[in-house]
Amino acid sequence: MEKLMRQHWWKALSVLILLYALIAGLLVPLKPNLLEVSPNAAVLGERQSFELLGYNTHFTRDADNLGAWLNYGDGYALKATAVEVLDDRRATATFDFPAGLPTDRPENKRLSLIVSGRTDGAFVSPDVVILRQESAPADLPAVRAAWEAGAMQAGDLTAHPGMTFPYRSLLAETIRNTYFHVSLWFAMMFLFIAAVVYAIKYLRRKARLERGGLPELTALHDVSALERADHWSVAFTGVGMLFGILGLLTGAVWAKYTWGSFWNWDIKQFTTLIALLIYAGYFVLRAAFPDPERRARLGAVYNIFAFACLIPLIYILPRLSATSLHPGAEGNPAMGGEDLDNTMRMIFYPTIIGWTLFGGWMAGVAYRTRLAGERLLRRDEMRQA
Amino acid sequence: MSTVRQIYKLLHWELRLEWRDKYALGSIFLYVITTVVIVYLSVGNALEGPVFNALYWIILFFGATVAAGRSFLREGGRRHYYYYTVAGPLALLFSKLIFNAIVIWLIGGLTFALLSLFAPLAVVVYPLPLLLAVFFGGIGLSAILTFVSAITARAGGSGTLMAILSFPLVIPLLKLLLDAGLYAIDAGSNDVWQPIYLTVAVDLIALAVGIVLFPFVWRD
Repeated sequence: MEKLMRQHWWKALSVLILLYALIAGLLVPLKPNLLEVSPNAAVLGERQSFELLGYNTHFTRDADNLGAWLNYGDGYALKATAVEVLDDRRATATFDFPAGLPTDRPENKRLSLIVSGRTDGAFVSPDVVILRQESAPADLPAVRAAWEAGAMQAGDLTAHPGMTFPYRSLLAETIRNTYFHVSLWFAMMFLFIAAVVYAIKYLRRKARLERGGLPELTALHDVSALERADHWSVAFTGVGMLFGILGLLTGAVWAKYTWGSFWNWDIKQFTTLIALLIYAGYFVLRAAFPDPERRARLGAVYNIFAFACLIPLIYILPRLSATSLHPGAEGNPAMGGEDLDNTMRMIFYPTIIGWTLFGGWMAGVAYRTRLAGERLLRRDEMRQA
Repeated sequence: MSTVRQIYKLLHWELRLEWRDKYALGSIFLYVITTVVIVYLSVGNALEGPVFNALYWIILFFGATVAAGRSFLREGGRRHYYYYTVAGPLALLFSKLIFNAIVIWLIGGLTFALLSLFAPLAVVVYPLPLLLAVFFGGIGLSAILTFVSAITARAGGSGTLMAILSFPLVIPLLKLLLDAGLYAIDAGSNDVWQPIYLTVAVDLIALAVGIVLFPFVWRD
């Protein structure tokens, strides 16, 4: 680690990655989609026009080739008879509904609206129109034929050219928080692991000394390898806590926009708060010992113990809760397939590396500051003696 | 002397000391009775279901903290140096740990008896999850609190430090115990055994880490 501290390539790399993440993460647009479709219901056997309100859409550029489908599923869909474009964000799609749904049962069906144009590509607005069928249609084969005729053919749907982030109805632009919030937690975990590794190193070196090993030679005014491990551990824990607090704050800002308030006592907010309290206890504990050797030894012990208690807190409890609103609540937090696609991965994964390296650099600076202070103190003491 | 034999001796010693001055027993008895009376005064006939569950674990938890916080201070002064010469670290840790677990189980039983006495109805429908939660939770609480009290004893045994360090560490365990309690009052919604076996998992983690780290804590 000390050798690594003297090299600079990884520090530059971390800054580059974070700059890349900031620029790409904030500037890449969201995929076009619909904010609103009204009305949200239709009557079978009638003609109905729907007003579409788009987000990031360019309807005027696609005016001549804009298509819209109401998708029933199982190969059944309905093509809009006419799509009228008002401006870039507003359009009207008109559908002629057949007399029934392509099923022989009474059904309440929510249909997804698919819109496709050359500039915007195809996008799906899920479950926007409700159709209600009281009883099986009189002429089922004819109805089925009508629904099949409207189904999308190969070549109807075009892919969006260029890079976009997925549009998830509730998340909207806040999906960008994945890069800055989630990656901070990953980096925090790596920093805490580094802190534990150094705490273990401290205790192992300590145990070797107590078994009768020879202490390595250090100048009187210098800091021994044993104490260095302790300084590393403190530096990593401090930066890890900083990242944790930032993660909690970015999460709170996100929660304000999606859940309605900064703090909801969601299980994830709760457990991370407790995790940070546990690590705050580390600094309180260290402050309670005037003797540096005792402080280092018991600090290392507590650090390891705290890390062990962190595992149920972060990996077990959040998965138990059935009421969490946090994305990815059903499985692995925020890594679920629906909340992360390949364009997001291109930014999300590098950001984790970037924050981790940057955190390591911060810890290194903190470590060297501590070391310099310690050396100055000892030099002064030697001079006075 | 083997470690098991040492544990047995130390535990025997601990229990005899306790029997002589009855400090832990007496204070816990008073603590539980006072708290339950206060609970009854404030909650009255609303002592049912979730309220019962919450108050039960709160009383148990604070009782456990008070009892365990003292475990490395009871010898007083420098007398513990003598213990250190006759026993190994593991024996010392486990004798304290078992003693604390017994005390926590006593608190759990006593609190349950008193709260049920005052509750207007039989609140606990399925006693088995609660029983298991008290049993395994007692071990877990005792493992974490004993270990933290060993650390704080080195810092002069301040009660504040004990509280600051142990409360956040114990909260995951307490959350699991509260969940298990919900099944006992028939308000759980998932698998009954999940909180129980997770409690056992937390117990094992705490015990394992405690066993590995205690030799670094116990003497200066």
